[in-house]
Amino acid sequence: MDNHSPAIWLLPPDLRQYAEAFSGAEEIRLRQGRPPGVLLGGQERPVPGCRAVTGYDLDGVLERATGASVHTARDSVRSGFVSVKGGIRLGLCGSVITRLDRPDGIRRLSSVAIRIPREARGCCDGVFPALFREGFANTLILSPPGGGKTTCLRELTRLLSESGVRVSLCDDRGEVAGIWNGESQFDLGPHTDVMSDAPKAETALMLLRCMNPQVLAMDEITAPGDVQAAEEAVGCGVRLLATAHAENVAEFRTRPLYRRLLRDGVFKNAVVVENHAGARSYRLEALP
Amino acid sequence: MKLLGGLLVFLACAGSGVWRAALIRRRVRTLGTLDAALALLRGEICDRLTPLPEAVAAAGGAAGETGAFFSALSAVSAQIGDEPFSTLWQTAAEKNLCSLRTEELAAAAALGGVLGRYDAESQRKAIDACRDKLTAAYALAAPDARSAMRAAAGAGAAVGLILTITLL
Repeated sequence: MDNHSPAIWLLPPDLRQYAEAFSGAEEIRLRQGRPPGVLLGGQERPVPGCRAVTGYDLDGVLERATGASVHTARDSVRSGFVSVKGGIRLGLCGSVITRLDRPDGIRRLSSVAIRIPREARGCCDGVFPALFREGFANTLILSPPGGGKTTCLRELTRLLSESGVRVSLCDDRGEVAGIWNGESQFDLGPHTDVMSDAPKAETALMLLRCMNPQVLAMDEITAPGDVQAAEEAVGCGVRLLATAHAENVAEFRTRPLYRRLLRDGVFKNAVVVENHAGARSYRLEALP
Repeated sequence: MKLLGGLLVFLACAGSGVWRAALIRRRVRTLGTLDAALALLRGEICDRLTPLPEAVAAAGGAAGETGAFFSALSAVSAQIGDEPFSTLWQTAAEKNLCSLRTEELAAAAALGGVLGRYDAESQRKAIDACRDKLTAAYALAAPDARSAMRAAAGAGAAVGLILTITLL
């Protein structure tokens, strides 16, 4: 699926022609007062010839992303992002409105990151047979932010699903499946059920109760609630496929949040996504 | 021949009076229907969180100029993205809400800069502010509308009659 053109359409009309040349961009980044930048192979570079982005431009991007209906996306705006058709995600940054000491919206946008997801079919073909050899064991996908965890999760979900495994996916930010009008924008296989737009910890339990999954897939274990949900899933006899922020297994071990998971031996395998000059490689490691 | 010329002058003046009376009637009607349509829009946007193009389409069923305005806006809503919604709104307002006075049209046109761009609460406030202006204008215009229409039509006929008599 080519999501470059829909992502370009989100830009102000006079900036589109400049960004069109960067068809492999992973992200387009707009910051007020600066020319746009693109993220290519993990490196951000400016788009040559572009004028500086204004606050009006950023409001326009949000208007296009929501179909001139910012009010319909208020819950996700409150969380700092907006999902767009095609699995594209807008990260929003600006002056946060707080109500009862909690973020309640973003008043003045200062920057917007347009994240362009891509299906990388076949990227996990090297590690999948080893993961599936003796029956699928709980697996963790590790990489730094923007390193390709979500792409890897999407691909492993598809491969598991195509192998006849029932997979339930907790997609709290709509990034993995890119659900639009109830339909996944990416191929997740024939046996995948997706619960989106709600906190993972809660949707994981809902999926366990309602969908009878064999594998529960979760993007980004980042909160104690996610860890608890993962443990409960394992307690129910469901296999786990999840992602976490870490450069490698050694770094993963140092994170206080994940110590309990390691101590209890919840995960058996780790797929480490490595980036070498923009090219990604996938390495399988056993977790003791 | 003179008689025919006089008759034509009389008919022209009387017709202009009737046209003026119709304009007054249209303005009052538009103020009322626009206020009702904005109330509908307010409910759709602020209470049901309906996407703006759908809310605009729902308001397209209004009568007269208001209906034409929302229908025209709904027809071009596919252009959101290439044109800011505020521009589409303003253009549709200027083309269709012709009977409104300058300040009433300005209030209605300015609303497009807020709709769909901010949270529901901000949109509610902007719609209410616009409706307040339209309601005030309606309250002033509606009670006198019938007499103003009669006066306009009568004045046209009277001017026509005087001119005809003078010419004959």
